[in-house]
Amino acid sequence: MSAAVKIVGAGQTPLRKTVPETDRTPELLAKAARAALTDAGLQPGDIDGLGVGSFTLAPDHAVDLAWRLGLRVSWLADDCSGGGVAVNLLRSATAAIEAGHANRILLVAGDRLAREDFPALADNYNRYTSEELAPLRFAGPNSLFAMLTKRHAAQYELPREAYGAIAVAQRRWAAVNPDAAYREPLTMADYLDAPPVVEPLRRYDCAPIVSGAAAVVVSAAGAGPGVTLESSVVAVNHDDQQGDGLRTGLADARDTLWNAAGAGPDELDLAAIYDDYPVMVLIQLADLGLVAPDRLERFCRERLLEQHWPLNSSGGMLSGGQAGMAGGMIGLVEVVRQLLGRAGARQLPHARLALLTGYGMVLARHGAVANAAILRGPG
Amino acid sequence: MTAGEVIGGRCERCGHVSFPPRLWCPACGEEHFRAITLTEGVVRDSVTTGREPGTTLVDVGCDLGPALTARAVADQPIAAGQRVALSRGDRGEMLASALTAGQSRDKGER
Repeated sequence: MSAAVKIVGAGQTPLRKTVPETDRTPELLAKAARAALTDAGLQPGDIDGLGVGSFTLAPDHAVDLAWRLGLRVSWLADDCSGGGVAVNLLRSATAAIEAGHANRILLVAGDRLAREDFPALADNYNRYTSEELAPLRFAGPNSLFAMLTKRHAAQYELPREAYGAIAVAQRRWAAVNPDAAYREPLTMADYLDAPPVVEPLRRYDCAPIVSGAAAVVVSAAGAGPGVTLESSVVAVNHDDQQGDGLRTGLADARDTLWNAAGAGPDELDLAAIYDDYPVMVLIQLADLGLVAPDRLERFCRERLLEQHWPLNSSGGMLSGGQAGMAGGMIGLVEVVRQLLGRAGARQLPHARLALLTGYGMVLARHGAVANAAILRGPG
Repeated sequence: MTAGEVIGGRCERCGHVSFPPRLWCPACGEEHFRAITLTEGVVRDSVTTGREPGTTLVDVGCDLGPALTARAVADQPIAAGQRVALSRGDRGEMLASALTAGQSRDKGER
């Protein structure tokens, strides 16, 4: 627990399929950063630390962005953990502030990605992918997660509606989030009848590629309201890429996460679960003890569709869109907005304790990074 | 080493087989490996991609241990549980072809 450190602001650009020509990756990162600073009531000169996650900032790195933003910093981090970017950077920034290395750290992640850019990114994601998966014409991560979804559905005897509930429920939240790219209503029939991508995955199982960026400001405790990091866990390469992908490293870290927070799953007011595919949401829910694996279908039907429990209350990536590494940061932005009472039309009446997860960096067969954090608001 | 083979690494110390060969053994940390051919395995799952209709990918559990993703030869769907032979195609891509009973080339180096 870090009572001395608080997240004091969050912001993002709207996630959009197309953005103006002038909004390249550095400009998107700058806009998200400005939004987070404004939310925190801060100026660029107040910032003395910078952490950055982006696939398309290359050949630039965090140091180049610091220069372009005119920031003079005493703490700097480049993060390449994909969907794990938010928790990874947040726990590092928190530790840095506790150690006195910086006082106010800006964390920003995002990418400008056109649909036609994605195959090249997917084929060159890492060395194993370019050497062993791209030659298969593997069609990107959709193929790998189609296999994983097939395996998961067979293992837990789940109908397609269980996965569809994630997509349909999140779309209802996206409808009241102007930052989400896809806000029109989505019915279960729309989900089930959608065009196939890689069976069993269909259109609404896959986070659509968009452009955008998201940011937060982490600060040494001051007078204003803030969100505290109660606990966090990170699990990298938990199974050497040799497991069945139906559990993440979070399963082993679960007790550490809850014990350090002094809280349990039943106390959560909301959760932002990394949602590149519905199957990964279900797997993480089970790994962290929110839902028993044999009750997933019932949870989806009752808690999500009927009771509107706030799982990915921004619409997540499935409706908001996946703007590269911003996908790993929008969950944190949503949690901060809710916990600080700044979530607009979708503000939850009681938002005090939240779960944030990250998952990503598919190495050979499934994600190699999984992490999670428990965050508490001032309410 | 044959160009058309799928080559893994067997740890000189503990015998653990990795694919692809690693820098350090994930089981014991040793850094010396002997090349070993992954000849056969069993299909765990398969999917057919939409980008190039007919491209079938299979998740294979190799007899020597490693799990990997390959492309089905002739792009015929392969059922889970099917024994397959592993090789590499013209572009270096890993290929899996279904074996019928009695076709196994496996010389049993386990």
